Amino acid sequence: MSRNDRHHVPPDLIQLVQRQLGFPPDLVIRTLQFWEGPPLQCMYLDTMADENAVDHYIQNMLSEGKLMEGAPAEAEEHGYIRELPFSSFHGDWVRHLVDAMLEGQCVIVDTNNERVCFLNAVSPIDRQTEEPKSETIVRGPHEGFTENIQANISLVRKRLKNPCLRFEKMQIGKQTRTTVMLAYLENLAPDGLVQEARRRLKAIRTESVLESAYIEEYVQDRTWSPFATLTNTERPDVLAAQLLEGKIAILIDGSPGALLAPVTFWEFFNSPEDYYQRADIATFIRWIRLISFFTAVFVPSLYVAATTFHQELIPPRLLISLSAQREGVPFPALFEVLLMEVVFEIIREAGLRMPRAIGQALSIVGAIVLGQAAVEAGLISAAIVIVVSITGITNFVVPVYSFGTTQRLLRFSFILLAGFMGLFGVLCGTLFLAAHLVTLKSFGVPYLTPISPTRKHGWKDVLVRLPRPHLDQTGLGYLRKTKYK
Amino acid sequence: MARHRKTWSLVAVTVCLSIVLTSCWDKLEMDELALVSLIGIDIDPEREITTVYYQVINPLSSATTQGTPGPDEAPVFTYQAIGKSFGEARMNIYKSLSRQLFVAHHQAIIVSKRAAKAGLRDLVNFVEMLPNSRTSTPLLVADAPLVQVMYSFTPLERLPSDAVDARLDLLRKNTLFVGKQIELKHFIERMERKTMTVHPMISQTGTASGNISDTSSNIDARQTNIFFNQGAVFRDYRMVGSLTAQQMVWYYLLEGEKGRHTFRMPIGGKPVTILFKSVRIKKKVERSPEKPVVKIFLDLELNSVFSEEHVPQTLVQARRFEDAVDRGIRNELHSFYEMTKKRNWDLLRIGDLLLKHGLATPENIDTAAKEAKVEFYVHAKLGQTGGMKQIYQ
Amino acid sequence: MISRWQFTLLINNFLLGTTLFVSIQALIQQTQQHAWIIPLWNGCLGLIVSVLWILLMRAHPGKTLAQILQEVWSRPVGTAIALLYFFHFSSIAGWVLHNMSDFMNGTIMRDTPKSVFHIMFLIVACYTVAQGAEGMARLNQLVTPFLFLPFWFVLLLAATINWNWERFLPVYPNEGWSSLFGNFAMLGYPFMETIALTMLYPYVKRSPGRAMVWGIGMAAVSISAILFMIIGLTGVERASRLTFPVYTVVQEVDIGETIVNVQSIISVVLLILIFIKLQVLIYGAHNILQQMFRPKTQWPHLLALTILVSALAVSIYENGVQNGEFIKQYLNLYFSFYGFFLPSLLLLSTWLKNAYRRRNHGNQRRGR
Repeated sequence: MSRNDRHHVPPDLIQLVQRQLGFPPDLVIRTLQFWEGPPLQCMYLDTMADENAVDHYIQNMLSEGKLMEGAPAEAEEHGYIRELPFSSFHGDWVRHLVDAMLEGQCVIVDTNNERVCFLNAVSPIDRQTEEPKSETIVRGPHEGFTENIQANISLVRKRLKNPCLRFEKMQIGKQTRTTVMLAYLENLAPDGLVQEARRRLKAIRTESVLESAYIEEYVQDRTWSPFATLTNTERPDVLAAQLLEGKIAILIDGSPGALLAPVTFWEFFNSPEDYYQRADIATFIRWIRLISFFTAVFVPSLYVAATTFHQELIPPRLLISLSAQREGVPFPALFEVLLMEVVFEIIREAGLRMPRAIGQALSIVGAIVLGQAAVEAGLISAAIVIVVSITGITNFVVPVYSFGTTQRLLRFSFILLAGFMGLFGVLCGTLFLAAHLVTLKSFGVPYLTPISPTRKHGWKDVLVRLPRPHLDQTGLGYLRKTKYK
Repeated sequence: MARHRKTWSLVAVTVCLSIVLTSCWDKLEMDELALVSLIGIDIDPEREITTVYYQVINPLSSATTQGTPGPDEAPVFTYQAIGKSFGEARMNIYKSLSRQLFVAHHQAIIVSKRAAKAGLRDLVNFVEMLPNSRTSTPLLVADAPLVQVMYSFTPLERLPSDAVDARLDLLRKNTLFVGKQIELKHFIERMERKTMTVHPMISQTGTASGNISDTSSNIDARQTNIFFNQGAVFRDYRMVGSLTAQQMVWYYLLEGEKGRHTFRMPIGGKPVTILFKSVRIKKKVERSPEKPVVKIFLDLELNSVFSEEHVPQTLVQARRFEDAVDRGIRNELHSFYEMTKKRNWDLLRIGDLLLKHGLATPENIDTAAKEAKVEFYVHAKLGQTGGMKQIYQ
Repeated sequence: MISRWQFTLLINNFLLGTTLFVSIQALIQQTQQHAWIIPLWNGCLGLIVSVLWILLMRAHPGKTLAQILQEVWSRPVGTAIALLYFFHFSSIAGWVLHNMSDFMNGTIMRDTPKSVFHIMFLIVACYTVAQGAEGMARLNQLVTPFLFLPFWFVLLLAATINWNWERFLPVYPNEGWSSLFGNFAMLGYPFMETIALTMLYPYVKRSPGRAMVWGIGMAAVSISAILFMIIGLTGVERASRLTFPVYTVVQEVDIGETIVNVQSIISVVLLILIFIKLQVLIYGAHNILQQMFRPKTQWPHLLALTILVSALAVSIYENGVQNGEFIKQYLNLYFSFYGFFLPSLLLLSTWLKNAYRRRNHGNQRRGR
């Protein structure tokens, strides 16, 4: 170290750091005085760093005097120490120290020996690991991700004790500088896929990243499509299973949801419970889910088409009954269905935000007033209430919640088409939808694999779930054959 | 302008989408429909007037969530349309009917006797020409005046069309009074093939009443009830005669219908009631030098469940039983055939059979049918016995 | 890239297209109960003609019809003939649409103006065409099971109720087989229209020729089977008089009095066939434009094509009577010009050119 190097380091480093941070109330600056020499300055944000770890280290330092003797950096129980001599950093010291402190590290400045030590005592406020509320299952693990990315990584690592498990760290978001991790199994994920994912993540230019949806909207294949081309999960077992199939995962600090890609249409009907229960019941439930999808999307529009355009489809007895119900109802069937669908959406939204205390009362209001009373007042006919309730319930059968929103959007479009042109309109809408699905790609994988580009071995897990000995263990069937851009 | 091309194109698309607001041309709410359950046709040949009766269901007359209907609520209303042709009559209906006609669920077409005698070709053309009409509904002929049939209620079934439909179904399955081929499309096919066909005829008993309370509060089911007792014989789209109920049984038996029939005939001097069912019928044509011989083989299964007069105890008795039935039925069939030959009706479709085998040509089909010799071979077998092995003497 | 099976299915559905709606009544009227043999016979002839096309495409590997035209005949002449084909495909597309709207207006939806049907179908077809040949073929493969299974299920159900072998017996004694084999009612339409699929030929991964032959064969057998079912279910007398026999057959099916009147569903399902035919034709027309003029953006041409075809659809024929007359008298000749005459001329030119080139090469080598 020569005298010339010293002028890289501003003499009033501490004050500059304080000013950069804006004199926050949680900034702690401790002066550590040893027996001889100038004192050490120890700085940290007490909301981000674990004070106990800092104290523990300082005590060790004082008792054993290691720092004084210039001993090599050691890994401590609570954190690790990274030592950086002043001469080796050619950059903005202030900026570097501020970044480190914002991450939760404790900075010890030793101007005497011209080095800075970073003590990693990161421990931000965190919640307990609990089962995610939107992905509950009966049989299987009940752990879920939390907002701390380190905890999430440990949950994944404990399921995949595989040296090939890779995590690539990136910082995305100019203002928030959120840590984003790209996870994959190197021996299973295709190289093209990983490169493509990396390229897309690195190309993101945004101000803030607070949730996985922010990343999803930059990374997805097609923006203007009701179908999601990435799925998200809050369960570490699901993430591990998908990584084992050769997919990539994106974990975001501050959000429990992780993104998974590529995904096909049929995987939205898979729930982890399919694999934790036996094969026969899993196949049955999967069929129920597929039928629920078609019910949720098509039933209201088919009802409108049948009752306003093609009444001959309705059996005679039912037609007489429905005809009687419609006597005296002021609105056309299309309008009734739309009205009830919108009311159902309102009830659902209100149910999400409502405080638990009045939840019970409001659901009674919803059921009795809006259902029964409206029918008896002659505003709507009783069949509509049944149709809308069936639709509403089947909407939530699909395991991935974001797919439910897709169903809702599709349902409204089909209702409008059916009201416009009956079954012909529904046909045109279906063909349009099919044409859209057939050309949609998720990270290069066609969305309807293995049905549309037919991949025979993929059929073992789409409409049926064959028992585990017959399944393709690495599940890489369609991934291996896809060309990535 | 070029810079804002995307905006302008979006505006253009939105304007084009306003076509959706024109409100759908074919949309029809259910309460604007007149659900027709029964259609009646009457043609007056002298004055050349066609009258069409549409029996429209009153939707509020069935039990729904709005409550059960009142006792005086008429379940159907019959409307009448008059015109010089069917098309005209169809247009004229809207002078009295307040809803759009919806015939897709009608259950029968009833034709008056004089219309049947005048010829049904126009009706057939009209029905097939209409895009939404089906020809798969039964065609019936009314023995009573059509006005009476169309304007009266029936006991037990609130909708007269239900009464007709259910009854035809029961008769078809359980008896030989009605067969399967009584629909309008079968009529068309038979007429086009120049063969003959028989359709059920509706008569009425008691006094017809158009008042629902009369019908529903009267214990006597004979009053105001419709009744299937005869069959109308058609040739070349015209009705040429009728068959009694008993003759209908033999006709349908020879057609190959699988219904059952109860028949009382003397066996061993005593009249015995037997129940028989056709198992198989085969028609064979034998070429012989003078004229072709048509042999009709009939296999029957006998059931002694109704034979309260006599139950065979031994095998010999059973054989005697079967032989007697063989003979009896053969005689009946023979007399039926003679009757048809006398009236010049080829109801057994002998002509068609000969044509199939190349023994006749379309020109001489009638004479060939008349000249052919027909022999019946009946083989009855006792199958199921009743609940008693021995009757009370 | 389209797989072989996808191409076969595409050809099959293309050929079935409007055939089920338009030509059945006239055919049964002409040939009575032997009507089901005619598609097989005409299908054989269609196969022979398709061999001509396959030879042509094999002589120019990797090129579509428009490109071959430009290559074999010079660019101006080739472009002119390609434009002829463009108008041919557009007019068939308009025809197909008018047939479809005739059917819809005549049966299920009577008051809707024809243009609404045309434009709705065209919008969806243009969207699919914009996705490329692969999207089109995959869509076809996806919807085919949903198309065939309900239709055949309903037909077979009708057969259990309504079948009568006697309907196949001759009404009059045999007129002889010559009348049958002299009947080319189905040759021009639909078998000659398959020239439109040569626009997709280069995009098929492996052995497109075999796929084409299989496709035409499958379609001929399908049409024949459906005709067979119709004759067995409705009989010659009715089928030769009804405008839409398929519709009537399906109308009369009823399952236990609960599922009744399924004709709306089945008609709408059969409309998918018409959609696929329309799609292929629009693709052919659009691709000709692309390959001739190589524009940078697609959507203006698709929009213009929509407008052109919807105008053609409304004006292409006045009524069913005119349509029937044209089909009976002029159609075979008209379609044979595009389907047989021009391609054989092309093939001949190709062979002559190749022979000339080979001779020239030989002379050059000898000359050295």
